[in-house]
Amino acid sequence: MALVETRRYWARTTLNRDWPILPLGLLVAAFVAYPAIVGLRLLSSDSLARLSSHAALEPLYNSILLALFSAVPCALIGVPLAWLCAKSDMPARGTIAALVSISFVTPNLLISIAYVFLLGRNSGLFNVHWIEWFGAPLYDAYSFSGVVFVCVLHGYPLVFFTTLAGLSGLNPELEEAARVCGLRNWRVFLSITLGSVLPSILAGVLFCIAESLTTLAAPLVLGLPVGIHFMTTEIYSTIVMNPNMSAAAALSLPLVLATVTALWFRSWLLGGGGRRYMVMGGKGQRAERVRLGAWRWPAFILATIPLLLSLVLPIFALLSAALMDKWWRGFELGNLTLANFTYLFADSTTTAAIQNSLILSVGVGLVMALGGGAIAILIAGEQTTWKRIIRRLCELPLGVPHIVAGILIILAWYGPPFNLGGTLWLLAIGYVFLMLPYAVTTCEAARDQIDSSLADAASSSGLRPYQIWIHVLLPLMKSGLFTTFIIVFLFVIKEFSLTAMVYSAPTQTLAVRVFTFLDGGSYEKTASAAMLLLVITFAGLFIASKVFKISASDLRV
Amino acid sequence: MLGRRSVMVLLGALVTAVSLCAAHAQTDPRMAAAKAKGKVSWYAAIFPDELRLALTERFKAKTGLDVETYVGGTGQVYSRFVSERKAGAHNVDVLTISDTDLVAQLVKQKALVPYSKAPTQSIAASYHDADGYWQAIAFWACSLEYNTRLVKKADLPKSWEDLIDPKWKSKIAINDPARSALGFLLLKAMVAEKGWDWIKKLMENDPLVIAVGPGVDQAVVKGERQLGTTVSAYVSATMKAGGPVGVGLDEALFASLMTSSVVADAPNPEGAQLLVDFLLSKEAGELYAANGWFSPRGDVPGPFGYPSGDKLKVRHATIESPESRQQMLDKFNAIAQAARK
Repeated sequence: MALVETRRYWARTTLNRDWPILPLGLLVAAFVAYPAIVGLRLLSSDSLARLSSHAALEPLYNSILLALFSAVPCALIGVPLAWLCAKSDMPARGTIAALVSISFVTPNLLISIAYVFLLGRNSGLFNVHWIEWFGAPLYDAYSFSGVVFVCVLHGYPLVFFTTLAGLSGLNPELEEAARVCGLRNWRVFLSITLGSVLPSILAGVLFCIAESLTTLAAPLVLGLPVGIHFMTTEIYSTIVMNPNMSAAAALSLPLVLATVTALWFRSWLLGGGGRRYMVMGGKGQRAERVRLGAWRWPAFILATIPLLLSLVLPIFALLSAALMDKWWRGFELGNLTLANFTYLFADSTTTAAIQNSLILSVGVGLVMALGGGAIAILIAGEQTTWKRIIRRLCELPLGVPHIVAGILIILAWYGPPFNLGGTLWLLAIGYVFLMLPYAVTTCEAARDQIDSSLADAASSSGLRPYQIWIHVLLPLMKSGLFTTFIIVFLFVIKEFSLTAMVYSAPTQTLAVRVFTFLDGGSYEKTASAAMLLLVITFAGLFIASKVFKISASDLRV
Repeated sequence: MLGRRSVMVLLGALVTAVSLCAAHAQTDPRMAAAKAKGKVSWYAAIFPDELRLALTERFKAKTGLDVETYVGGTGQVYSRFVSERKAGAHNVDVLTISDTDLVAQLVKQKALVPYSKAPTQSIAASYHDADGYWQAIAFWACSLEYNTRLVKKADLPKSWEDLIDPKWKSKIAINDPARSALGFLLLKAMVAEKGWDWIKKLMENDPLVIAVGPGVDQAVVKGERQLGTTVSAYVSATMKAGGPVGVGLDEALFASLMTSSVVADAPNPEGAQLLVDFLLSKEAGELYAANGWFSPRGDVPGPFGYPSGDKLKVRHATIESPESRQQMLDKFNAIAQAARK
């Protein structure tokens, strides 16, 4: 069944009418347009003039290069890995899928710090020995390629998630037909599978580009120390020490424009050319897994390499630091301690932060899954001006760096007339602002893969449109909604750039706690809080799988 | 050995002293008003976590008032404070940051109110504002830190200007002037003393430029770089813990005050004053010293590895610059980018 036919179904539905769109439009406008307008009001001719200065051009150039150089390896890692987990008989594929989700939740800041521990030019754990043996460091993490490397480690799970969701909803009949016609597995993958899940892959690549454009941690920790400036580090420096909100808003404009352009490019790419895609059959078909034969274990080894780099090594570095009294003393028996962990549990600020993190990540995850699903359905069908505006509004926050989003949220919601300062609502609104593009895009991908014949059949059976949504469409989107929940959950629980700007004493989150320990110079407590963050996330995923009776491989994240 | 009677007398004296203190606290007319308004909100650039906790717990033990803290680096705290006020929110009672230039900007914006009755009798006049807008509760000095395993004492630079010696190429760590109070003040001091040419030569020496304050100390103690220009409190804490670091120059480049101010439109102004009083007390001063900070009080010893505050040699008591902060940062960035090429 073709995607174009699916779209025709949506075009036929009663959702073409604008009346349900208006309240939705108002809601999206409140969450996105209102803070954006507040931000635009900050702009001045002076701040815009900074944009054209030579000092701003080099960081912009570096940011664009970073996004492009990161996106390609993310796709090269994420797509095959997702295929191996979803379609092949690779050993431990469920565990690998679950570990990728854990890897995604490891904050970029901590991965960056971990690689300073491991590959700092002179003192990195590996480099110290390498210098002893060969006289020169193995690799210097303080470099442009070091920033790209960390962004790839952080970004490939996004392509993995979206591709896995696409593959899991794929109708296997075409693939099987192709095999019957004599195509080899790799030809089936390239000709049928890859083309069919292209929307999902592009969604993931787009997320990577947006993430790399707006990321602060890796540029700050690995680029800036050796004089490599990025737009986010420039924005950061206009906000801290010498706060100039107007300059920060102006410097954010290229990032917003670059992201919106990427989104339009994606829409154009998918809309033109008469491409046809396989979509979800909704009939619970289960394809036979591709037998890798002698390649099973080599494939497994290859699949573990990204996990080794993005999860095992950073966790090893962090856990080592967390278990040390003083991390600079290194591995000595007398230096080992559990005091950093006991401190966390004895500290009421940290326990309150854990509670806040859980409330926000679960609450916002649920809201975004349901809200994203509703928006995806309501903006389907014939694209009226209102629907286009709503979609563009939903995409807008992708280009806004999180620290700038924090400022916008404070200016829009903190004080009168809303007075949300000091409440968890303020953080929740901030997360909704950041997560809206991800939620809507993921839910739209799930919606576009629904076979129109199912809705047609339901309609022929006399079901009303709202009954079709409840009994047919939403259940079929369940996988996409759950993916949305997981992505938002994982994103919120680790978010600190916006949170650090917005939180108050009673609304501190665990991710911010990690950051405050780092700012205070306690690498040991930073590492122990980071480990706690990872353990809680893992426990959250584990409990979710038990409650929903879904195994790790079915999580499709 | 003390007899039973002596013990009883001592206990009695202790109870009386505690009661008198408590009575004094209770009779302070500001106490009732502060309690009626509830907690005290304190935005503070104060580290480490243990110091913040100790200060707030002891303040609560003395007054019964809870303190809610927002903690971050000076830039982060200042930025957050300004943003909230711009949004029309006035939730902060006391502001503690480590940059008197920024405090001066806040005074201009009428964001602070004078507290001229602060108990500063034991503190030299240079540690509080004549108009009462700020009181220095502690201070830190810009120290040259070195890794004792990698650099012999005899090979150390003889003065701050020696940092541009090519023998230190790729061996120095500094804080980023755009993101750290120490980094900016170092830039300001050396430009005032040696001019921009010295900064150019420093950047050509390929220093590691680190954004977060303690990062320089961590880079030096791990041996990522051999020398670092850093906050005395971090050096003191690392030395105290037995880390392989030392103070490379007896003379600190400058000292920076950690000031506390009562905020205009504070929801709990009485609580704010009580907190500032406590932060200026000897008890708090000893806590600062134990955590690596200098106390401005003459009756509190210096932090580990340093002399007391009044005996510390400081090269620049004040640093004046004809250029604005932004102009200096723009110039620094241009020099840094050129040096990299």
